[in-house]
Parts: sequence; C-alpha cells; structure tokens
Amino acid sequence: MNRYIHFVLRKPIPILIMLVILTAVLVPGITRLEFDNSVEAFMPKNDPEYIYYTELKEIYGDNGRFAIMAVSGDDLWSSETLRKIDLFLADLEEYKDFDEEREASRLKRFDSIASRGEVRYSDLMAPFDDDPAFQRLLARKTVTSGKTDLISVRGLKKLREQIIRSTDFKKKEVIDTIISPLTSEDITGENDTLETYGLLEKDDNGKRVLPSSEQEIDTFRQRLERNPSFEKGLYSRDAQTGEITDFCVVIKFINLDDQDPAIREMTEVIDSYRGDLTITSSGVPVVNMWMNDYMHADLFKNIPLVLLVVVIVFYINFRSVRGVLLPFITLGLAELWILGLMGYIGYRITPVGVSIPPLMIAVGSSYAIHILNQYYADFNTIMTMDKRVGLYESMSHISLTVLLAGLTTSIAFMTLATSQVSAIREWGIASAIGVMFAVFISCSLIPASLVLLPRMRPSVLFREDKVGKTIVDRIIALMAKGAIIHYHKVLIVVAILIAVSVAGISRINIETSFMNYFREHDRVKLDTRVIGDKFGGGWGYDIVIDSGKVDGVKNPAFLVMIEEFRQWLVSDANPHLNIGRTESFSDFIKTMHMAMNNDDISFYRIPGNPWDIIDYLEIYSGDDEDSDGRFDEFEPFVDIDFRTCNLLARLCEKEDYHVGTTEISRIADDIATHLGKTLPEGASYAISGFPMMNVKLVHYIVTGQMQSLFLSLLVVGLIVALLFRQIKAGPLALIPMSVAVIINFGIMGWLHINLDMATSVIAAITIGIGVDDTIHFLNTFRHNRARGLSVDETIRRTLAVSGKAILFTSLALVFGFSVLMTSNFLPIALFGILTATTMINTTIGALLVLPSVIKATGINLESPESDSRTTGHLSIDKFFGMEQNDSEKHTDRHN
Amino acid sequence: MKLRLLLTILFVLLLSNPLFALTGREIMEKNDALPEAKTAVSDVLMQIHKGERVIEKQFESRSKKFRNNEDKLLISFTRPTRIKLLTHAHEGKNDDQWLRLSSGKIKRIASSDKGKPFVNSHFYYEDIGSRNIDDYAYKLLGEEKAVDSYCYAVEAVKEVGEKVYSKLILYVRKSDYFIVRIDFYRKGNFHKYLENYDIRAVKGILTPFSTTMTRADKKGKTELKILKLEFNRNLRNSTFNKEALR
Repeated sequence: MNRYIHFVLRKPIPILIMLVILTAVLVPGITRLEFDNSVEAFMPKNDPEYIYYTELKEIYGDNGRFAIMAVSGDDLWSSETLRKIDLFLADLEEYKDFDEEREASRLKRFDSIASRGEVRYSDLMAPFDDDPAFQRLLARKTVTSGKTDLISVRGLKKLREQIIRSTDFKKKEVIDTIISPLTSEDITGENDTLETYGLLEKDDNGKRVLPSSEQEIDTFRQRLERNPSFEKGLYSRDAQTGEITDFCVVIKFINLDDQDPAIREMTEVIDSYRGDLTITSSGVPVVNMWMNDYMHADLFKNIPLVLLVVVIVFYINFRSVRGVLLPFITLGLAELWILGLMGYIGYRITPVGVSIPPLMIAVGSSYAIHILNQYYADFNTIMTMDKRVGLYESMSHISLTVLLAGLTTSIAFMTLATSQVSAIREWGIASAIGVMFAVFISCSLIPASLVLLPRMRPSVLFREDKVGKTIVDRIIALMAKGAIIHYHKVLIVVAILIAVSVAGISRINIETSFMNYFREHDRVKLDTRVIGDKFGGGWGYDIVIDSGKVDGVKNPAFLVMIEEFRQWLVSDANPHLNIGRTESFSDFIKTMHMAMNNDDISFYRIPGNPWDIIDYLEIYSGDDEDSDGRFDEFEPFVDIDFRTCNLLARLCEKEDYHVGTTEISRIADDIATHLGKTLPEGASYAISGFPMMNVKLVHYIVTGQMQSLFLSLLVVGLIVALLFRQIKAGPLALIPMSVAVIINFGIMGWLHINLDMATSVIAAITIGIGVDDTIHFLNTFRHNRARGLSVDETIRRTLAVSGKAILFTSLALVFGFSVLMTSNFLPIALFGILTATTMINTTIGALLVLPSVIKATGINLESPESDSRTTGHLSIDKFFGMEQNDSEKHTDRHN
Repeated sequence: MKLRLLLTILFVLLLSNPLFALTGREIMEKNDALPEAKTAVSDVLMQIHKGERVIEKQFESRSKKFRNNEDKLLISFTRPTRIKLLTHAHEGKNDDQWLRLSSGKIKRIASSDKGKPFVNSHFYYEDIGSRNIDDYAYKLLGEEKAVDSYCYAVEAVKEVGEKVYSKLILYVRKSDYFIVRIDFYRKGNFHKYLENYDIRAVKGILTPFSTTMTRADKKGKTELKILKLEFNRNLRNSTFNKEALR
C-alpha cells in the first residue's frame, strides 16, 4: 500500500488521467442497466415450490400474472364506445397474431417515405390511410419522439427504431390470450341447435361486426348477460342499479420471465385510448411496472438530492472547496464505476440491488473523509516538510486503514457470491467490487489531487487554536468522557437499550405488502381496489386438485366437489379469505349443460350423468393450437390427462386491510385446512401461483439479507481477529455493528415497521459503514497505544482523529439520507429513515460503546498474542505492512 | 349430380383414360365419375396424435346414396363415447348435421360450427360429409407428385354454402383420377392436409384403407383406419332419419 501511495504522490497526473480513462470506459455501461423485480431473479432454481410453480406454468400457463382492465366510456352501450373498444382490442391483438408480410410491408412503406428526408406528420400518415392500426401505432410512437408537424430526419430514425421494437414484440406474439366481451365466444343450444358463436359476429375477413342499431346492441347485451360465468369475468355491474357499467379486458402473456417490457408496450396502447375510454388497469405486471418506475424515479431523483445535502455537510465540516469536491468526486466515481460495470456484465438492479447506490455514497464518503481528515489533522506537520514527504507520511497510514476497512467489507460482501439466490449473489459481488472501487479511487484521487493543489490552511475545525471549541470537538470530548469516566454507566445504558430493543425485535413483523408501498390516494392503489371490487382481483392462487386418476376430472362427483369448494372460497361467510372470484373447468361443463338443455338457466350446473360430461368434451367446439390434447380454453384449468384440475382463485381485499405476504400465507393455510377436511379419499391438493411465489420471493430476500448480515459479521470478526492477531479483537470489532443492528431492529419492532424487501437492505449499509468506523477506530487505537500512551489517553487521541472523521461522515450521511424521508414512495422513505438511524447507531457504537468496552475490559490491542495457535501463523497485518507502517511512524514521530 | 363422401371410407372413384389439355373442372368431373357404392358400412379406428399422446376412438359408419342426389351418413361411436353424428348432404345448399349424445339428447350442428373440430380430431364437421362437384370453382394449377403418385394439382374454391376453407388444392392421381391428397387453406394460409394411403379396389371401387389429416405445422394428425368394410349392403332408409337417432 505504501508503495502505491508513494507512486501516486510521485506520478499524480498519470494517476488522474488513468481515473478519467477508467471512468470514460465504465460510464457507458450505465445505459445498459435494467431494473428487474421478477421472481426468477430471486428464486433458487432448486427450490421445490419454485420448481412446482414452473411445472404448473408449463402445464396450465402463466395464470397468476395478467393485466386486467375495467373499460368503460361515456355511454358503454353506444356504438361509438363499442367502436373505440374494438379499435383498442385490435391494437392489442397485433401483439397476439403476428403477420410477417404485413409488418414487412409497413416498414417498407415507412422507409420509402422516410428516405425523402424530413416529413410533415400528416404526409407520413396519409399513405397509411388503408392501415389505421399502423397509423395509430405511428401516432403513439410519434408522441414519444416529440410530436411536431414536421418530423426531422433524426425523429424519423427514432420512429423507425420504435417501429422495429414494436415489431419484435409482435413477432414474439407476447400476448397469449385477450379476454373481453368483444372477443369471447359462448355456446348455445337454443332451438335444438348447438352453436358456438362469438358474442360479436365476424365478417368473411374475420373482422368483428360491431352492433350499430339499438336492437343489435341489445342483442349483444343479452348474449353477454345470458351466461352467468361472464359476470365479473367479462363485465361488472353497478351494485345499486344492477346495470352493466364496465367491460373487463384481460391480457395474458406467454410464459415470459420478465413481463416488464411487454406490459410497457401494452401500456402505451392503453394510454393512447385514455382520452376516449375510461380504462382502469391493474394486475401483477401493471403493479410491478409502476413499482419499478416509482423506485427508479424516486431513488434516482432523490440520490442527487442526497448528494447535495452530503456536499453541504462536507462544506460545513471542511469549509474548503477541496474538502467538498474530493469526497464528492470520490463517491461519485465509485457510484458511476460500479453501476457502469454492472451494466457491462449484465447485472440488473433488483429490489436488493437498489441499495448499491446509497451504499457507494456511504462508503465513498467515509473513505474520502477519513483520508482528507487525516490530511487536515497532519496539516501542520506536512507544512514543515517537503510536500510529497509530508503527504506520504500522512496518507500512507490512513490509506492502509481505509484499505483494511474496505477489504474487510468487501470480503464480507463477497461471501454472498455463494448464495443460491441470483439477485443476492450479484449484489454481493457488485457491492464487494464497488467497495474496492471506492477504496481505490479515494486512495488515488485524493493524494494525487493534494500533491498537485496548493497547500491551504484547514477549516476552523482543524485549527489548533480552535480545537476543543467547535461543536464536533465538544461531542467528541463528551464521547471520550463517557467512555473513559462513565464507561460503566454507558454500558448499563447500552445493556438496557439492547434489552428494550430485543423486546422490540420479538415484535418485528416479517411482512411485505406491496400495496402498502403506495400512498393512500395513489393511482396504483385506487385502480387495484377498483379492479378488486369489479372483477374480484388482479392476481390469484393456482389451487391444484388432483383427482388421483386419469379422467378423474370428468367425474360429476369430483366436479360437484370443486363447485362446493368454489362457493366456500367466495362465500360471504368467509370474507377473511379475500377471494373475489374463482375460475374453473367446471364453468365449461355448466355452460355446455345449459346449452344442451335449450339454454335453460336451471341447467347451469354439473350434470349428474357421467356420459354427459364425456360427450360434452367430445363435442366441445374449440381449437387446440398447440396440439396438446386440450382445447385452448381448457389449458389453464386441466392437465392433458384430465386428472388434475387447476382452480384459479383471484385475491382481492374484501376486508379493509392489505393482502400482504403474511395474509397470503394465512389464506393458503386456511384453504389447505379446508381441503384437508373435505377432499375425497385418493384426491390431493397443492396451492401455488404467483402470490405464493411472492411470499417465497420476499422470504428469500429478507432471509438472504439477514443471513448476509450475520455471515458478514462473522467474516468481519474473523478478519479483524486475524488482522490484529488477537482473537478478542474479533468480537470487539463486532460491538458497534451488533449494537447498531439490534437497536435498529428494536426501533422497527416498536414502531411497527415491517421487515420487508425495502427495510431488510439496511443490513448492507450497517455492515459497510459499521466495519469502516470500527476498523478506523481500532487501528488508530492500536497505533496510538503502540506509542506508549495510556488507555485513557489512547481513547482520547483516537477519538480526536478517527472519531472526528467518523462523526463527519455520519453527519453528512445522516442529513443526506434523511432527505429520502420526504419520498412519496414508502419503501424509499423508510429506507432513508432507517439508514439515518443506522448511521447514528454505528457512530455511537464506534465512538462511545467500543471505547467503553475497551476501558471496561482492559483489552489490549497493542501486542499480538504470540502464543495464539490460530493467528500466530497468519500474519495478515504484515502482508499489509501494518507493523512496518507503525514502526516507521514511531521512528518518524520520535525523530 | 354425383356426390362423394370425403371421409376415407367413402371415397369412391372411377378409373378413366387421361385426356390431353384437361381443365380443372374436367379433371374433377372424371374424378366424380369414378364408381361408387350405393351403400357402405365400415368399422373405423380413429387415432388422434396430439403431442406425445395418441387418443383412440372407434366408430361404425353407414352411408347410403338417395334420390335427388342426397347422401346420408351415420357415424356411431363405440368408444370412448356413444355419440352419433348424422349427416344429410344436399345439393346446392348446406348439409344438415345432427348430434345425438349418450343421454339421448339431439342437437343440430349450426352451419357456423362446421369449421370446428369433430370429436377433438383434426377433421372438422365440414370434412365429415360429401363434396358436391358443382359447389366449387376449379383451376388446374399444374402437375405435381403427391403420395408417391404423379398428380394433377387442382385448386377448388367453394362457391355454395358455408365457406370453411378459403381454398383446397386437390391432388388427383393422373393414372386413375383418384384424389390422393388435399391441401386445406384457411384465411389464405395453408392449414392442414389429408393424404390417402393403402388404396385398394374393393368390388371395383377404389378405397383408401388409411387416411391421415395432418396439421400444416405437423404438430398433430388424425389417422383413420378401416378395420372392416362392406359395400352395397341393404340399409333401410329409416336408419338415416333424425328420429331414428333417439
């Protein structure tokens, strides 16, 4: 390390040029960064429940994740509203059935127009008068590229890229199914004629024939109301008047790992109709999209604000431009480098990964401040020497400490590289590299800059005549007094706090309620409620009931049991189940039975004769596009052997609380208990689906974070023990972090803050900043103690130098992260509050509790335990030149 | 008018001498003139291939030619269901089809459902019936090889009644004018194809003992195999009455 510092001080300009080049190389990677909160990012591929869920998706399709919309207009039953809904559906259908010839011809025509150079909007549209669907796509895309009457060549190029992007989606046929009143079919047996018919008829070209006269519209309405399974499935009624108020449009995607890009393309279509139609949208992909946007916008909008506040605190501390700029550039570069690298290597920003930018701010600030603080502390000594020699004297010691702190943190994070959860594994690797980036930048940029910059007197805080008179010094003095004189009292207070916190921890609720992340009047929350009220919910369980034998699902007794179970699920007597609607294979049988009995509603039930069911399945008129032996409509509900029935139970919020992960598990338990009691012999069940995977996802994130916290603590303890060649140094180093963690969780428990996806990531910050504070304190303590000072004096002097830097860092970060409290997005606000709390806790831990423990226990870090069998052979400290560095210092100081 | 049931068991074609410069229509007239049985009774095994699975069904088929160029066909399943399908093929208008379920309920199949799969097979209700030569406009596309035979490729576009397919391409064997393959197009796209194999002359009537209807994407097919066949057995007219279904 010393050699490197020596090199930096000798060749500052090449070092700075190298930093600029590395930044230029890494920064473009940021543009490749993508957000990802998909289940796949978190699920270990060998998780049995996940494997089962994946198998279910293979058999029944992706039923839990769909976009669901309530669509209405000024007058739902006017021909104009129906026409607009038809256009809306036609635009969506382009992503369902790909027509290669049509798309190629569209692009060719577009290119021919674009080849003439800039073009008027109207002139671009006119040639596509015969292709209104493409005109609408152009209109949608032109809006995003700045709709002016004249479209520039650049605008046309952008537009072309957008067209190709849309074509790619169409080519993938990302939409599997569109369910709506205008696209659905029904079966009738009226007048002794069995007929499958579209609720809307189609012309010879396959285009829907829209009802225009009052009579035609009335016929359409009657067709819709005829089949009881359509209520809440295709339309919803006003609770008071009984009038149909909304149509339901459901978009089911093909099996996509990440639905986000697809739903964004669909949302563009949806938004283009918002002026003409009233569209309320929800469902897992929609809510996830909004969550990603909120997280992205809020976090990245607030980070510059956090940085601004941090910079202001830097200025208040150092009162110099370099005191602000050098730490700021350090943390900025560390941030840019790691995000750029993540972009290049294809790491995504996951709900865990969002903690990386704030982590970089925290460690980047800390490392830079420690180095700068040392410079100012040694300023008078440096002034008396040659600039380079003086800086070497000052920088070599602190850089080593920064390296040790960084390396310890980095190794602790790197242990997560073994995690089976890909998001946590990537987080561990990225954080470990990021921390080392921060160490490298701070140890390169600051010494190189200081050697080039003229020597400036330090701020008021560092002037010898002012020492002891500033507020920071007074706090430090207070801490020193507490640790040296009142250490017993301090430890008693800490013990009480720990006891209270432990009591609080027992009250912690491990729960993630995504809806609770949104404000009460947020559009996402309101829309989700509307969809719940109108259509019974926007996501649901897959309840798989195995009859135990091939063709068992065709058995009337089995189907009757399914029907009774469905009634139990949605019964008013069971509002706590929060099931708003169920869908099952039995709906088809009931519909067929009614049709075969001249559409008599009293036959909308399971027939008693097993032959009826067998025959209905033989004569059912449907397509089997994938040729798997089931009609396409049956695929979400039965397996190919007709042995297992998949019942879809939509979750909504019947009772006035949010259905979070705890609720999802509880409801599943209730359902399991009921099925355990009621299923016939030989039958079995399994409850799966996206909500259950959500529970698992949160479980993996939260437990992953907690495991990482404890694993990191263990690794930190081990490394510190090896570094100081004393086993007792390990537990000692863990004190500040452990106290911080315990108090933090205690606060969460007492304040009813859930341990969830957002709040669990605080653990990383605790480690990052906690390790840093501890190692700085311990190494400086050890350094001072080696000079033959008494324990009290060592504590006092350690606090005066390291304590000041720790306090500066904490002040900057506490104020900085407090800015996040104003966030509209609750997880970000909580993240801000808890990070600020962590900063305070770790600071108190390092500056007060740690010295108090040293004082109380008399631990001596001065000389290594030569008789230690473990540490005796592992002289890591020598590897880093700690001994050499200390002895050099001693010699210098004595001289 | 000559009628011919498309279903394998009912293909009855006459050998004829080839002529030079035939039109599509002339070729089809020659096909139409092939000898036919007055009645046919057969047992047929239906094997539906979907994915890795093969679903087997079996039925008995009875057909009879009536006056006024009417053909009637009764298909009675013996396993796994007991459904019956009665088809009355008329001249110049849509066929009538009735279904009888095991429970005895009878329903007429609406013409709009003719393009739907028949008992989950790759045959549609439209395919279970006869094809009237005058219902189509023909165009000779050329000569091609199909099912190991040199054939005329004739395009047929339906002009009368419900139009399930946008066009057919019939591959008529040059040697005997027997149809060995039919390509079915829906909405202009190649949709599925039928091929006749094991073509034997039974009492002078050319009969394919194996017929396969395959999806254009080859993801599935249905094979029909004649297990037992008897031509010109005396069948009572009442067998084909709708009322007799009950």
